[in-house]
Amino acid sequence: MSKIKLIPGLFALMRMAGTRKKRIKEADFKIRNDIIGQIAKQMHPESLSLVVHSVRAENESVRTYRLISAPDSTSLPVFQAGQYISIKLKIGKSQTSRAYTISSAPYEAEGENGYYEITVRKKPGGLVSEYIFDNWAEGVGVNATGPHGDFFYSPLRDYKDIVAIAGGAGITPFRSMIKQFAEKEHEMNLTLLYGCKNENDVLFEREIDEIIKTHPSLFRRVNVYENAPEGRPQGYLNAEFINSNLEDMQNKTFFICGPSVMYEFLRKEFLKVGNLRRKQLRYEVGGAPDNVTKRKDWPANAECKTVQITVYIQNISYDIPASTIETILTAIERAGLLLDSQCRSGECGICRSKLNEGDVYIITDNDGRRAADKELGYIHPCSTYPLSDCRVTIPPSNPIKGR
Amino acid sequence: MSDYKFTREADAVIIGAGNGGLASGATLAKNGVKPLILEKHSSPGGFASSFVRGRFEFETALHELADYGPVDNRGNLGQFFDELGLDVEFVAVPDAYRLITVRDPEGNLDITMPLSFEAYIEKMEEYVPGSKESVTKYLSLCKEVYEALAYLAKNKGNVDKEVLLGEYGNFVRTCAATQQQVLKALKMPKKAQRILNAYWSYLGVDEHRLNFTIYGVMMYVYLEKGAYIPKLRSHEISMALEQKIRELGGILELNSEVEHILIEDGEVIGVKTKRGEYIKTSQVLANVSQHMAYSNLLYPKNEIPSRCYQLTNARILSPSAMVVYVGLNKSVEELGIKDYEFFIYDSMDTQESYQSFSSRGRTNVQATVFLNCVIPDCSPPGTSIMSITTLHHGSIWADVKPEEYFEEKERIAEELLLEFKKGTGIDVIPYIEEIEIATPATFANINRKYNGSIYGYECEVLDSLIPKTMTIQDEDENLIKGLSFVGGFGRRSHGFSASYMSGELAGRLVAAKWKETKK
Ligand SMILES: Cc1cc2nc3c(=O)[nH]c(=O)nc-3n(C[C@H](O)[C@H](O)[C@H](O)COP(=O)(O)OP(=O)(O)OC[C@H]3O[C@@H](n4cnc5c(N)ncnc54)[C@H](O)[C@@H]3O)c2cc1C
Ligand code: FES
Repeated sequence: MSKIKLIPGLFALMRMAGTRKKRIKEADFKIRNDIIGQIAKQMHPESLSLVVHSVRAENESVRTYRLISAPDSTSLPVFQAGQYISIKLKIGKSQTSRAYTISSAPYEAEGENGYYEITVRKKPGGLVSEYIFDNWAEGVGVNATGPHGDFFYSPLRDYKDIVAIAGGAGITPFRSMIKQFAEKEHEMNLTLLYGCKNENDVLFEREIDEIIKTHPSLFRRVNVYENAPEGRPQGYLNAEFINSNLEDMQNKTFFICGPSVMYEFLRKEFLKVGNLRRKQLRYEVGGAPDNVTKRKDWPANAECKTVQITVYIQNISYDIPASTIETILTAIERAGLLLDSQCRSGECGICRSKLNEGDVYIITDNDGRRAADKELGYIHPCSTYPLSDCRVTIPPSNPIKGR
Repeated sequence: MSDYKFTREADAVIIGAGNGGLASGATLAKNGVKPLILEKHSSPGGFASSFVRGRFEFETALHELADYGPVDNRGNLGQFFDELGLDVEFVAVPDAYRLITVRDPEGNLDITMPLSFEAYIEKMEEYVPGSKESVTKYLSLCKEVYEALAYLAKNKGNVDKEVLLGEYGNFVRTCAATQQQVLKALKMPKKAQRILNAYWSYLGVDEHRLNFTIYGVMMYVYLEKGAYIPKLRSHEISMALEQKIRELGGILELNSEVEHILIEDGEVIGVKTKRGEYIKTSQVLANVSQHMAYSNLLYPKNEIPSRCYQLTNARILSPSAMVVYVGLNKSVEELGIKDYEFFIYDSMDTQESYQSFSSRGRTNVQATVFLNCVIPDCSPPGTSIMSITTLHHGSIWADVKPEEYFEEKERIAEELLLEFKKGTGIDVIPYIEEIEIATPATFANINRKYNGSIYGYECEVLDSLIPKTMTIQDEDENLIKGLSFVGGFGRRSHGFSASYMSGELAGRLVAAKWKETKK
């Protein structure tokens, strides 16, 4: 090509090295602040150091723990009503975690006296919930992650008419939402459909009713009981109940939180509610099911037995026993090996590991695995069950700080 | 000698498994140097990743790979991947871009440009009669620049001045010029200039400061080699590179954050991880910014030459971004979307747009892609995946109160969706099934980006290839022995392709040094 006529041209090139040197020489020596890095740390801290401020019994088997920032740590990160924190614990030789929804409202976490509340139902035989009931009292230190999860109202995605469907302790995210909406947002309205076993199973009734009284146009609550007390509606959270309490189904977003059996049931019932689009139905994840063998797609020929998992961490291998009806993550934790976890439902990918060999059963309800990972044999051990002897490579994890 | 208790030794330690880190890891391993890659996150790839929400898997960052190329016309990146034998399925992007301006004092544009030399020139002539000569000249100039760089790379800096000035004279004459100066010198019609500058937001510097060499090469490789995306999001590339590194004997450890790069007497002697492990090494390849390395990683601080800070402060950090990832419950056909890549700008006054990156006013730049237009089955039937990227400096988030953060990101996301509607007439908001919004704080958190900056240092004239080469003795890689930078802050410019190739280059250089010391 012909010679390009450019004013700066060659001359500029000759000068360039000099100009660059000059600019560097004139630059200062100061370390620049990483302002956004600091904001990010505040919003998404690697771990939270908390202290139990107070404990409140909601009934015999449910307690609410108010948690505040430990002395010398920063203020609590902001969150969206419906998100959870993952509590990290060392019990015996096992390091484990459990997700608990923040049942208090985001505005209550603001400022120096801010707090999170979590509401824990004691599960008979439950490792962590029993541990918490036995050990957490005022002043006890608690290790947790910052808030996580996608179960929250999104103004661009969701309808302004919100239906909250709660089963039992599944009320926790809705307590947070109702409190927050009443305090800060008046755009949307929320109808709470609350399915309970009996009167004793109902949580936060008085508190929620007070809020409804002061904002009657925003909130409504209807309970349904399997064993109803006098004068209360008896029955189940089913299509009939939903249809009889709501109109204009196409313009609503349903947030659903409760035990996994309730989800299985509701998924069928919603087919009778009308032609709802998938975006209208948002189910919260709930951890591993109580009894995996009762799931519809549990392989008929799977035996309940002990198998062996060979676990590789940084090229060291460990042979550990595992049960076919417990997750691979549980087996790893029982053996005292470290594997980080957060949602324990297959969604977040924190426990992502590689299955080198072996038959497994995977719960795919909340399968957060990516296409390339599936092709290469990656699994999320929190939602994967070993059906035969297996070999699994897991990433190194960090031991929890402090106690 | 300090008495660190080293528990392991590695030929080379790579900090960060981003594009630069993975590419350098694979190059080192291929050349017989066993790298240890330490990655803080639970998954490799850095920006080259993906995430799942509901029934959608979103691409984190990649819009289109430059310099890959079809089988019979591979670009540098394509050759590099071929030589490694990467197992990744790539799909070609059909068109270059659709450029729409919505508040343009010079008249709004709505133009779709194709992805090949001849077609591009033809189409431009159609839109701007009389542009053919200058556009053809511009593109041949881009070609010459590309070939000159290939010549420089081949001769590893031992350049014959006669050849350079004789055969690549225009390269030499333009390498100190801005994009704007070159367009002006070619007397290109104004409208054609506006159309041709559409890619500017990929680099994030306005045409008055943007180095022509960098824009020209990008233009050339897109038109000559095409644009590609991996079938299974860029996570697939990261995973393929990881596999390859392991096969070749390298080690990649996830959840492993490096706290310090240990230096002594001006040399790297090892690294310390957050878990408290000390690892001995004489070579560190850092897939992080110099800002981050000098202010946080190098240890002890009094060993850092003050020149490092000066060098860093003399450079300008690229802007950060906000990305809105949207899963829609309508297909692209139902929505009436035909194009993959949309550039929607207020106008083609790139200087004005660039200035707006520093304020919290209305966003006036967006690059929006619809993945299904290239990979129809990337989401379930009857759905589609859209992602909108806008640029601004992270600093504009500094005065957003934490409790206002979520509201602010929803506000900007809505604005971007409405701007998309203004530009195309298509309202996607009613069909949003999943939405995720990333801000500079997200990138600072997940990728440890300094001030959330998503690229690297700005591709201005003074910080481009040639001036850096001319002052090489005083540049980063010669200030602390054994420390090199890869990725967006490496020796090439930023972007996917450049960051892979920066890793390839650094990997080769370190391997060569390694072999020398072994002898
Ligand atoms: C997003 C989310 C939000 C949630 N929110 C709430 C909430 O607000 N309130 C609430 O009450 N619950 C909530 N949960 C459920 C909660 O996380 C726990 O699952 C629940 O408290 C039961 O925990 P557990 O340890 O008591 O019982 P389990 O998890 O059932 O404990 C028994 C388990 O421990 C295993 N195990 C036994 N011994 C060992 C050992 N030595 N080492 C390792 N594992 C062992 C067993 O195999 C079994 O899997 C939420 C769950 C999710 C996913
Ligand atoms: S802990 Fe979230 S996927 Fe396993």
